[in-house]
Amino acid sequence: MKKLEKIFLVEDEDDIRTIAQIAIEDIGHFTLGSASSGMEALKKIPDFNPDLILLDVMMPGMDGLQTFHELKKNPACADTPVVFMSAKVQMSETLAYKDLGAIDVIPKPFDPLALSGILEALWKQHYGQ
Amino acid sequence: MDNDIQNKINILKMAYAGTLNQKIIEIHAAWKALKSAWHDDALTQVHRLVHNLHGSSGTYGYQEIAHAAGELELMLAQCRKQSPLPATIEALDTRMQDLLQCMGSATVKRESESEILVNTGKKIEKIFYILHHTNEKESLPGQMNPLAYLCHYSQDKKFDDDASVATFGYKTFCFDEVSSFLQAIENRTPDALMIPIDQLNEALTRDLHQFSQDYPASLILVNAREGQPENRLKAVRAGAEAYMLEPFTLEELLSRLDDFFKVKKVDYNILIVDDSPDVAEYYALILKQAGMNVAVICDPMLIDQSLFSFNPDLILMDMYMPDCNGLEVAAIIRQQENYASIPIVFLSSEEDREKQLKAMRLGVDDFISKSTRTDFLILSIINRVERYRLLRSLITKDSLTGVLNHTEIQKRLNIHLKEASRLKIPLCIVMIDLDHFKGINDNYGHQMGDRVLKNLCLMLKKRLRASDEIGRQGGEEFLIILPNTSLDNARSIVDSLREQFSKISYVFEDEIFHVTFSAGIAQYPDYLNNNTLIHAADLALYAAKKWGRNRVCLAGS
Repeated sequence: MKKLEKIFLVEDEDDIRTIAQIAIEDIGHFTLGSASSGMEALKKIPDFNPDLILLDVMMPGMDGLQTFHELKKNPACADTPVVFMSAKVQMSETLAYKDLGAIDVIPKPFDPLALSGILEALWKQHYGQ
Repeated sequence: MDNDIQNKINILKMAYAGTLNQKIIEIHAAWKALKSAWHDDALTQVHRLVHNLHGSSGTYGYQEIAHAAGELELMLAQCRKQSPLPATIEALDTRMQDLLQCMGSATVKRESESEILVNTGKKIEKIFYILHHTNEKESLPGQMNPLAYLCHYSQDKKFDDDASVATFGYKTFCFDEVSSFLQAIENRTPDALMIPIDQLNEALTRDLHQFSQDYPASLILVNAREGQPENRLKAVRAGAEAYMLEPFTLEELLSRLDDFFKVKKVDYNILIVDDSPDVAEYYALILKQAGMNVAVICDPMLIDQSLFSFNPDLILMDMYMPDCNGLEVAAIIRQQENYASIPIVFLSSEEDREKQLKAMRLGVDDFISKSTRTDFLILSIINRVERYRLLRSLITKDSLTGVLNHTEIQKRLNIHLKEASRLKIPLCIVMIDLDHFKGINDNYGHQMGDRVLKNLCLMLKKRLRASDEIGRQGGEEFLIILPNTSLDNARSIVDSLREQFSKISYVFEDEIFHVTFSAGIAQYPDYLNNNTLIHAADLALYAAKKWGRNRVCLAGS
């Protein structure tokens, strides 16, 4: 099973990106790339080549869903697993996102101490199938 | 969990709390705009701000804010995009006020550095009702009429009510007559109320006395022109705890209020240095049981910057440790800049009296005999800590304003720079200088000038975080250290302070005037040491003055 090493975060809120960095790099020991908008993400992701993408649903300009669709169009990253982050997580929504092709949805706000554990678990689940 | 990581997270949490003030302003402004003209873009803006707040506050551990924001977000999402019903807007408004209250509470300054900032839910805003003095016209000319001041302050529509809340923490309501005063008390219990002595008839005295019984946490003040015993007795019978003799200044009134509401927390941090873990643990246990915070070090060589956050009030040390001389260890400790004047107390046994005398001649602070009874030991330590704290505040604080003096703020800057370099986080310093201050002293007298200085410092102390440092550089010049703050954040914080301060009105004879300040900000690591940092901030301050005063300039721009 491929190892989870590089994670790319797309999140417009500065404060959340800051603490996510600690959660993902310092605690999880992953390598983190990030973007504060969908447009920026589309430019950076192909070069960064992450193993997993963490995508905020609600962003100004190009929102999470639009960004997701654009990513899937690009052959360089169409197969990269995507996890959504959403403030409202009802079962119906999770299923809808999964139907679209995301591997899961995690709720916002997240616990910074638990985040990397959760991502690792989702990763194992995805490749364990 | 790695100490370093936990440390980082704690600092981030404190920094996040520092951004809450700005977020309060943003959300409040966006909500106001939406209420006045309900349309799609404005609604999206509010929704986005609340959504972001929900995510970030929860992630940083401010669960109350996250909860309030989450509920509000749901309500906003359900809103129809065309003008919703007035009832819906009202419900949203209530939720919004709750959220802003929550955020306000989280920005309350903490007394001790070692507390992790968690929203306690305690409201920062104290409700203060004042019964207006009916004989305002009789006020003596040339004296500042404080009640007129307060009435201007809160009744003048020009000034946002938030000015008094944000600046001094009291939401003040003035009443012209007793019936509306009493009605207000019934509608919403105030945290404090003030009533003139000549209004205290029998019925009112009885009512107030009952009030003081029912609400012991509220403060009753009586204001009077004279302090005759009959009047004072009247006040006591009404349950009043404070008797304000006119004329009194706003600062005196606020000081009285602050004293009453200040949470008196006695927090002693004691560091024990003893190479024998058993002995160290024994003393640690005794002190902990007495309610003190204790840290233990068995190897004096391990004292380093990581103790920075512990901030001990006193170091308790065994005089004889097999591998080294207690005096040498004390010298090593004193080499650390922040422990340079910390009291070090030696534990020694009786027979060492000769050696004790010798040591005292060499400059050791104090001895406590090992055979001292536990309760005496505790009292001894408390006395010494209190005495040293008093001495330290006399040495480190500016007597007029209560902020750090010139020497101390420079010292703190060095310490904070080291910490910033160790943790690789930014730091900003702000040079603040009051505008046209000489004119204030010349036109309104030095007493007024002092009031302005005190007001500025009061506001800074209330609005900044516990981790921020405020120091008086010179006459009307102040230096502020904002650890773990980026240049942008610093600018918005200082600009908000600038605006708040400019709104405070001062009354002199028949004149109302305002005071403003200019500020220059410089960031580490743009500038790497305290000299270049201060120089850069100075230049920025100079630019601010040159460009018209009452503004904030950034270094290098």
